[in-house]
Amino acid sequence: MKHLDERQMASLAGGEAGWLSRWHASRCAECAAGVAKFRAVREVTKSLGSELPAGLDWESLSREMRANILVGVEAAGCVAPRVEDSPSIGWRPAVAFASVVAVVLTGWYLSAPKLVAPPFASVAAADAVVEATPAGLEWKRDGRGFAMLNPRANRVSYSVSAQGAEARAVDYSGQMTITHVVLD
Amino acid sequence: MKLVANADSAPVLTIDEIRLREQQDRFVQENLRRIFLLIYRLVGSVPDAQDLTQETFIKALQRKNQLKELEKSAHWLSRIATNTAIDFLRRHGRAAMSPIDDVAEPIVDEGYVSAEERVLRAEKKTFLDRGLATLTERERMALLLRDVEDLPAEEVAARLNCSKATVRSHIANARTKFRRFLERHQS
Amino acid sequence: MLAVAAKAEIRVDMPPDSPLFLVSMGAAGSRVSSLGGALVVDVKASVDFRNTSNSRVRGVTLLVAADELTAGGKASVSVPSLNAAPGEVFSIPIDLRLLRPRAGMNVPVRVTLDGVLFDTLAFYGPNKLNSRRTMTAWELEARRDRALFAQALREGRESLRRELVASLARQEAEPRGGVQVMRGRPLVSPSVMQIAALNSGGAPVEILGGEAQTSGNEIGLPRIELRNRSAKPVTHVEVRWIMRDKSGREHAGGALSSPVTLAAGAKATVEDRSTMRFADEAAALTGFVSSVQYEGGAIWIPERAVRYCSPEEQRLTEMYRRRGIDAVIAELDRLK
Repeated sequence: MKHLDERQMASLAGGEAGWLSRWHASRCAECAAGVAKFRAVREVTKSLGSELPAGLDWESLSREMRANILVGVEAAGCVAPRVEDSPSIGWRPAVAFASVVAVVLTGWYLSAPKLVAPPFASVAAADAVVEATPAGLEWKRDGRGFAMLNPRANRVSYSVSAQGAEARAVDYSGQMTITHVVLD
Repeated sequence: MKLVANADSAPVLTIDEIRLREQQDRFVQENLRRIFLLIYRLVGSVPDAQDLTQETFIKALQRKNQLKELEKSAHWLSRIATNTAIDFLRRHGRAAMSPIDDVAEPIVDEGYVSAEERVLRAEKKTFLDRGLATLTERERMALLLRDVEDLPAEEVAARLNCSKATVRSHIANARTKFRRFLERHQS
Repeated sequence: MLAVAAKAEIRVDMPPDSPLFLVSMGAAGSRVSSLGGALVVDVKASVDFRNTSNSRVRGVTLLVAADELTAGGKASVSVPSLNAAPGEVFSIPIDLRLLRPRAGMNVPVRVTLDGVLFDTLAFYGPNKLNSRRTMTAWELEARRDRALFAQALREGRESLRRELVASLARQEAEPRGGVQVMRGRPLVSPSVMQIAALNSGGAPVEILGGEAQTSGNEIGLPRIELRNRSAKPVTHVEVRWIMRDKSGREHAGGALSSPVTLAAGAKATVEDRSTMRFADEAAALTGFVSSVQYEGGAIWIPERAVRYCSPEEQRLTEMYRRRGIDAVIAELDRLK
């Protein structure tokens, strides 16, 4: 009688093998024992679903992720309609100036839950303020202004001086982007 | 519609909006560890897994903002997670497993953990993760989806965009290699 | 629910003799959302440039302004550690958010070139944001740090790994954020604190001493006396601060960046009219010179300082964290 090979026993342990392998294992103690070993391996593999990487501070990481998810969900405006993406625009430069005008967007005024994200750092003068927040560096006066958003990156470092605030981030391609917002 | 005032001068939230946020947070709490570990085992890096986990939940919550659908969507959430991880691996090539394998433990005072030690520990692979590292990327994905997520082989094939025969082969190879690793290292 | 429209229009203007050719600009992932009931318009765009010069491009800084919305607020996006060869195309991300544009407002956002740094350290651009100085300092720091990591690699992979892990640990240990800076705001019942100086042996400018006002968790109006130890006139100095709080933790406290007129051997006093507020009560303030610009434009930077992580060190350690040591080795080789 030809026994099952390792891969056949491995398949049988998960129920992916055909009827012929199943039939053989039901009649061969040696192969049945081999399948049982693979079933035990499956039980070990299952533990990967709950075993954390060594040394990981799960409490602190999960808190950070939950906060980031909340910020991400609110910034994306769960209840807001999406705006159609504009196509890429580009043309050869004109004689005097090369200009690209792109991305004409329309925004709609809505009511939605307030985004709560305290700044990491800020610099203020008179009525203007520059703040480093989880989303990026914001320049505001009377609540109006603009922000340079952080690129897709896991870690962003900030620094502030009397001139403004700076954020540094490395994106997935390994490119460093440094944004700076100036407080005049 | 009953309005509930906030403590500050922010616009008021309705009861429905408050309930929705609570449900979203509960959904995240209940699934966060499972999804994080799934993604971590697929991409092999804690920082990447953190980013992709956050992206997964943000995508999921953007699409599902109704109570009933949230309760039924744990399975669909893991589909978003694996697709997000697979897209990441396709864009960036095989993510390197942690570079620190066996490093001699520095002698530290009891109760004190240096910042360097914390970084080393966070990077150090568990025994089982070293076993996963013996697999090819496709074998690892197939094994995790079949034996950890407990998806049927047909579903695994669909997620990996390959035939059922191919995915069965990946699963069998993965279990075989993993078993050999365990037998080699168990004393 | 009200519906009020506002628009954002991004325009990239390049001078006719620019060494970078504007290939295209694409927008993706644009979103509209709400912040406390007000409109927020997010634009995620990327601008593609081709290097049409004969030298490699090491860094680019773009100036971004939305004057009609902010009346003076401006920003920059810089990408250091590029290695764009002649003819090569590269992308720079511009991710913006407009806060509370008025109803019916059409907000033009103007993007212009502030500077391009080449591998020869030659510079092109209007330099309105002093990007020549900052990008040159970053490039010198990058070469210094890559040389240090390359030296560690020559001693073996394990040696490089130790350097990278030690750097990551230092970055991890830095307290995150919590610094606020205010201008023109007096402290309440301040006392005087002496500023400690951390002078490196080869620095052309040394800090002789200084003092600041302190009150609780605020330190303000730091004044320091500098001396030019070199034989060349100095026109700009950057001093970085380290604040130590009452529990002994050190916080990076930002920088004082000031034009000076310092002849060879001369002394001068520089001061910062701002106040720094930290999360914890301040115990001591230390300053160290992080860059010096000579008359004529040449830049000096110190040896690698454990209390300051350059953009390149941050980039390479992040690469190590994500991709492992082989990726860092390949990058060191690429930028040799």
